[in-house]
Amino acid sequence: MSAEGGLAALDSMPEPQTERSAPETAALSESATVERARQRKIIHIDMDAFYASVEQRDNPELRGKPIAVGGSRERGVVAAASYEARKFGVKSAMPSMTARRKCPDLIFVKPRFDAYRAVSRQIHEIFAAYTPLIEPLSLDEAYLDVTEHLGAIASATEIAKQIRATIRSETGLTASAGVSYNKFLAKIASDERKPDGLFVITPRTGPSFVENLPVGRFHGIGPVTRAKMERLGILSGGDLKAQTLSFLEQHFGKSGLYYYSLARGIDERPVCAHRIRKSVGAEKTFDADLRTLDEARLAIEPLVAKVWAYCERSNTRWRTVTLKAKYADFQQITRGRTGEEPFATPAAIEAVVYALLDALFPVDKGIRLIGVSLSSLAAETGVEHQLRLPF
Amino acid sequence: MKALCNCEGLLTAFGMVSGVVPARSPKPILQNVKLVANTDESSILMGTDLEVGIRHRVLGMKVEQPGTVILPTARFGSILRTSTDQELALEADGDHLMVRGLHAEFQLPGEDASLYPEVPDFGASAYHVVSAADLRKLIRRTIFATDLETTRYALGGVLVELTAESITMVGTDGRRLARMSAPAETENNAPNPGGSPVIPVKALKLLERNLNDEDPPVHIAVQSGAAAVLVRTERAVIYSRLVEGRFPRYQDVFPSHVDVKIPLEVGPLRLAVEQASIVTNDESRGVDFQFSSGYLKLASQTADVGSSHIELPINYEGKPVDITFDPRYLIDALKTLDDKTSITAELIDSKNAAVFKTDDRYTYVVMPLTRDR
Repeated sequence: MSAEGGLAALDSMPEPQTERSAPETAALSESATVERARQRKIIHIDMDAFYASVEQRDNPELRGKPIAVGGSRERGVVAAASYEARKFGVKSAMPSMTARRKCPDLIFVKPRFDAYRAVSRQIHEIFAAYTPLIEPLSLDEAYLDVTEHLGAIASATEIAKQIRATIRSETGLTASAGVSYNKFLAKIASDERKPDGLFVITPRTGPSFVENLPVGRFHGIGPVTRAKMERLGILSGGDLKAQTLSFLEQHFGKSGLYYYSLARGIDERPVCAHRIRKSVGAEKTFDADLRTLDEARLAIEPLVAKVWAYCERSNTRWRTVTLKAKYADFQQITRGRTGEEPFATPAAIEAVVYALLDALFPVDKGIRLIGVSLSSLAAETGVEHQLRLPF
Repeated sequence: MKALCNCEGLLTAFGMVSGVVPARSPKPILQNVKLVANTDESSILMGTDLEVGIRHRVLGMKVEQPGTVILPTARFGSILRTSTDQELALEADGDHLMVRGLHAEFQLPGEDASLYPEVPDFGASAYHVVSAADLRKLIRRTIFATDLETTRYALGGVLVELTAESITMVGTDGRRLARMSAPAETENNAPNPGGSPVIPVKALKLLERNLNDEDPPVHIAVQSGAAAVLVRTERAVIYSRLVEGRFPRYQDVFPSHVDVKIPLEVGPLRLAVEQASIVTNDESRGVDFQFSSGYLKLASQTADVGSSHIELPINYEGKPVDITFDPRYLIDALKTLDDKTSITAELIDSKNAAVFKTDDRYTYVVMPLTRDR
């Protein structure tokens, strides 16, 4: 089917019930014209409580119970919580101690990443039957661009329905899907009817949908930016849209233009099938806070070994190394250094990390977590190589 | 201490000295500068971070009561820069420092001047003598090739070789190397300093700022044991600890024989390289140089950025040579030369060092880039 036909199908999808005032309609038709030039159809698929659901599927005793995947020890963190646990306020990334306080009956389950990866491969194969344009965001989440790949199917919404049904029958797990005309809206849509739901945002409903959205739900607006926006009186997408570009750039710098576009439902980022990894990192939370440089130095080596193993596997080399430290009071700092040439050996990475680490000491509070990451991809190994002088 | 200071004279000295003062230091006293007020027109402003120190003459001081005061760098600097007065009166007792202009008056806390570390003076009677203009040129043409990030600390400075006839400076980051020599003389038969003194970049930048081409010759004394160097210019004495670590045997990098010598002119070459580098980026830096009879062709190609082809007529008849460079390395060096300067490229092939030479004893060696295809 042609893109034109697909557009009609997307347009004919049912709209969510939203009150619209006349001026909004005017603004909306304007931006709809802009988008119409190259209308895309994007699906965002997000597995529901992924790790926890896999555990409940594989162990019937856990079904219907509040479970958390992650470490139960003092320094553990919840990686995923079942919906039963979420009712108690347990969330992912929450310290395990806090989670247990909120839900005393919480069952902690050790993560089994091999099992999650296996399911991830299964769902990827399901996506691949519909489009080659798949951008995985993590094991359980992906964007699909189905603009050109509707096959014999009437609409993107229909594809999303079929994918959800196939995932359920083949993996025994549920997924939520969002369908829209760009990545930003597709992701918001998948959240809208979670769990086990489907939601569609069309080019006609997109702008008004965004206007009614609290800024905290915008992807890319975290708690800090949200607080800053609230201080400026920006609570909703509509408030954001009312600001001029220069105002947003003045307050949010380079991100200003991004917010300006999002407020209008515009997001032209393509779905990248071969998304290039922008960084690789490893980190460790310690059972007891580190206080001395010697302890911290000792912790570095296995982290560097981990990231280097990735470099070897992927045949990539990187030019920037970043050291992350989280203190006992959860204050987090990062220190990085970029070299002219990519790091060629783990020893070279270690030397820089040690130097960055040395500068942090002495510390006046303990360090609970240390991380090492590489970024600034310097090309695949061997593509371009600066020769060195012979000394 | 009580004195009337000429604002301009003090500001000149202050501008030089404050550059040495560390923004943060485990010894907070170092975040100040020290003014020694003498009645005989020999007042001196000094600053140090213990690695590098400077003693700078202050002109136009009328000293009523000699003495020493500690000035807080940032605040005192602001007072000087915002002052509309020709002269400011400074008066210090033990507890306070008073600064008075016609319509402005400041009171700053007094610091104990005895806590301020000694900034070494030029004590040597035997030393090397170099023209100020030459020394400036030597610094400008070598300092950019150093590498401050490396753990090979010796590359974070410039090697200085002094003999009875010449001074040679060498800077390298392991990928390119800049060397320049100029005439030198000795006073009182100063011996050639032993070891290989490496002066840190920070000290050389400070020295370069302190020099004017018209200045009288500069005196250089490397302390015995090669731990520090002292340089005396028209208006200042600069002290610097030397960089520890062994400087590489740089003589090894000059190819023993070269096949091809190509005369070029700096201005047009620099322009062509700058043009070709427009469509490079951090991931794809290389610019291909094709030297052939009558022409130098430059080509670069970068995914998602574009490609370029630049042609430069050259005065060369001979066998063609292809070589790829990181254009920034060439631009760095060419920028320090006058556009009209003649420069000779000495080439072997795409795998070996390329050497660029000028008539005024400047040699720049660059290693090429290679690509695996």
